[in-house]
Amino acid sequence: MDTAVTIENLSKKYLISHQQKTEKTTFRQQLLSGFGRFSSAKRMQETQQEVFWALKDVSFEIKFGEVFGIIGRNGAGKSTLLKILSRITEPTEGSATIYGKVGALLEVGTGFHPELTGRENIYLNGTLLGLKKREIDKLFDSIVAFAETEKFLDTPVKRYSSGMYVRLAFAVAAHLNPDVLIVDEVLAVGDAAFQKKCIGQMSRVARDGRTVIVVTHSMALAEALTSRCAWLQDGAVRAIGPSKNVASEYLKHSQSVKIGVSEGLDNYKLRRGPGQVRMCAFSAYDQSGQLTPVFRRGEKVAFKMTIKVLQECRELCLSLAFKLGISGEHLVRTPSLTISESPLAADQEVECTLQVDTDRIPAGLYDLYIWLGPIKAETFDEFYDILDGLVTPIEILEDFSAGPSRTQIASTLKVESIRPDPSATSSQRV
Amino acid sequence: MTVTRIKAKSKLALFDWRGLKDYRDLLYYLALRDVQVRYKQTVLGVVWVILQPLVPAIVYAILFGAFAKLPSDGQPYLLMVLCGLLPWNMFNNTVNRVGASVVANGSLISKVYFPRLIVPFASLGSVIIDALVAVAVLAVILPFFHIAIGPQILLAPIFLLFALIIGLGISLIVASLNVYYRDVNYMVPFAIQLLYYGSPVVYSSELIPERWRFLYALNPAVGFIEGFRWSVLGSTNFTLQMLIVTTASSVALFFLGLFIFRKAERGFADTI
Repeated sequence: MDTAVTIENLSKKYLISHQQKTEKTTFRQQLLSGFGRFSSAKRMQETQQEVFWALKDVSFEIKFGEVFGIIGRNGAGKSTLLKILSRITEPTEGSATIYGKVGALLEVGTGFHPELTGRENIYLNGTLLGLKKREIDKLFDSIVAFAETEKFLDTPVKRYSSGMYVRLAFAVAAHLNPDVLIVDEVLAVGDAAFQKKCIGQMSRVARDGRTVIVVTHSMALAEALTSRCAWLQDGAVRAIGPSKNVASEYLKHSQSVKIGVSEGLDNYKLRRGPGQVRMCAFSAYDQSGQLTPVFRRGEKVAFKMTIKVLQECRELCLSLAFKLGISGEHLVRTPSLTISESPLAADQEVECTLQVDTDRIPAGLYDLYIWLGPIKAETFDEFYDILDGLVTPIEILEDFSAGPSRTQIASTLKVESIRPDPSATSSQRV
Repeated sequence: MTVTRIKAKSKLALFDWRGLKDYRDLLYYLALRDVQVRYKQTVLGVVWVILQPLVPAIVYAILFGAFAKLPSDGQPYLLMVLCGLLPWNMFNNTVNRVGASVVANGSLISKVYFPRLIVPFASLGSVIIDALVAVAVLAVILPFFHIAIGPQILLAPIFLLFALIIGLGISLIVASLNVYYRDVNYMVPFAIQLLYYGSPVVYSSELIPERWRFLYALNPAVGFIEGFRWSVLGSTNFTLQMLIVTTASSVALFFLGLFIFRKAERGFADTI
């Protein structure tokens, strides 16, 4: 048997509800923002449905024993393809055939329950990934050794450090032994040493003659791991071939797209909030003042932004989060940082620079999530303006000397000017 | 070698035995998780399972039995209520827990493949455990009242099974609809409340005027409650009509629920 996966004319249609007619690109953004809006019954009433093809006529083959990459920007259809291949969702048209046992990892630690102990979670997570109890019994010691959590086996995982948690979750996943392994870039979680271990495990799986499909939007990862790649764009295969060729084509293309800066945010669609204030310009600079979307881990990123006040608000705070992966969970965020403690009047404009340390952010390609709201908002539910999935991806490249990742990152906010009343200039370090 | 074929609009069997069998260990661990999580970090733990049917039963016995002096079919009011609450709670818990199960496990459904029926079936685990504890409580209390237990006691589990299956049928529909319309969250407790008053849970069917009994017994819950009372206490309100309604509706609701769930599950991952 030569072929491991055959994909024929695979298409997937989504019906997207949205409030007003907008131009085509935002359907994709809406899709990205998740399906959470379905939960709001009130909104559903005023929505209309629109057809969106997340995948259109995708066909290719993956050979047995190949490490195959699927790359592309957010919304290109990678996650849809992944979900179809792992049988989570059905295609609308076309078919796919996978020869051999399939194992899919869209997320590390699916089904982990904080109240359950490490031992209990190993069994729950293992059976979720398709293992049998017998198989887990046999692999148990090896899983525990891999995770280096022997001492905490009978502790609820809610007491684990985030590093331990991820290690345990990945250990279970790493012991999956399918013929065809489908992985999302869940790899990019955890500290550097652990990442190396995971990449090692993946290469071992591949060397055993098994087939691995990696879905990523990090070109660096795809080049390092895979032999062949398919580049998806707008739901269709844009290029397919040896990873080197596809990568260089992809990079050539990305350079022609202006990234690192987001202009014209006034018309940005993925925003919520009553709109007392509006983020209207946003860009990322490195330490030397260069406009760039790519940073080495450990470097400082300076986000320069302009915020317009539309209605008087009593005070103003900002928080920024880096969103990773298909699920887009807020992996790391800054604490809420004060821009102004005194009321801001309509028509004032704030210019500020947020400096973020990247040494605790795992490597990966991130979307940004920006929250503007009042001080002491107990939760982040209260807000003036939220920009979700800002299509200015920031790529953090791995620097293996960096320390472990955390969920909160060090950051400094400097407010440069509040015009037309430049009385308040404050700065704080957290 | 296993070959997985993924096709658009593939046909689904009403009941995928092989898939469920392959994932039976997952069924077990999901059910175990529900039971463990329910009582972790509670001081009294399993005592809550005992108190849940016992305390309301005592309250109703005092209010309705001792004060209002409602008829209780010649049995101690407390026992009558306990024998009503036991199958009712089983039914009610099934509807609540299974009905919420798919949405509650949304993160699993959108991230991993497994037969979707595993989720509602797994949440039956904690319902059954709770019911077993309630049965044990009843078994401990019964001797104090010197009730003559007849051979019909052997049929008691069947009436509990009816309660479970009717609950499962309804909740499979609820669980499916819940994914698409969260309105169901508000509708179900309301409907259950109405059904509660329309079923002989805390009162005896005797209370219903003779000429309304026929209509009353069209409620499928009447059958499994009065049936359970008959099998344990030898209550005389149980009629053939009740037996037919409850049996027929458990079969019908189960298959209807299964059918709707299987239809709806295709869209779960895309909608949750």
